[in-house]
Amino acid sequence: MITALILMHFFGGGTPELFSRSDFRTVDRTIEEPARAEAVTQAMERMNELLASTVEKRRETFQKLNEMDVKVNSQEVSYDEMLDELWRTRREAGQKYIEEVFVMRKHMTRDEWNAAFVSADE
Amino acid sequence: MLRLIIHRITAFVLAFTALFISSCSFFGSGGDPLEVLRAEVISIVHDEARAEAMVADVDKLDQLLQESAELLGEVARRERALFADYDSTPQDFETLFLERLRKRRALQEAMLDVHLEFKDKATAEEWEAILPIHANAIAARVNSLVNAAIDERG
Repeated sequence: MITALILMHFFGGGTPELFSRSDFRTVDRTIEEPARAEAVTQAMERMNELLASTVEKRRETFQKLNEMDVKVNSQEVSYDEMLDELWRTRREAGQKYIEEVFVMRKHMTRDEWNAAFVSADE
Repeated sequence: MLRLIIHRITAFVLAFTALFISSCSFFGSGGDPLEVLRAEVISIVHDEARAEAMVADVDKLDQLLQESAELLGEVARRERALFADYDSTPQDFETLFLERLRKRRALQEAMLDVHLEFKDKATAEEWEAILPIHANAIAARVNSLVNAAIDERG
């Protein structure tokens, strides 16, 4: 179990899974038109689901690692094989996340975008 | 059977208590957790050459953890710049994301290699004594580095 704990830290415990930007609470508030605000809200919800799914995948991977701890300790298990799926999930979710960023942008004007992302970061 | 169960419960309670106490000392002291690990390695491994080699592995691991935190901070800054620019393209985001993924994976695999080299140098008894300290030191170091990177990106 402790080996898995160490590996969990090495392989991403506490760090953002995809992009560090995961707080979109105020983005839709910059849009007055309800239909566009709703489309952006839906994109944000899908992004949150992607983030949650990668965190869940990481949890599952390390759960498996805990169950296989005896073998891991004797180095009979290929770490690459075990972690490949986690990396594949991260890559696929990241690409979907980027698509959703641009779904949001499609529904936002330059001013709305700047109000959401530039002012919020200043 | 009852004796076996009592023995296992006692062992679990002792192990948990040891982990809890060492964890509290790492998180509460504000000191350098990997410095504690280095000192413990020297104290536990009496063969000087092996102890030195293991401390060198801790140094390598420390360096890799710091590089990971720097990567996190750098990517967060570049990501913020992409979001701040309405004209950023999906390709810009994808380039940054894949670069982070590639560097992150390389760093994490290097950490795993160093971890296994460190472990291979220890005897079974030494490893048993070092492992809880190692786990808590890594947890404390990662925690402080990630928090610092998050604070930096605001």
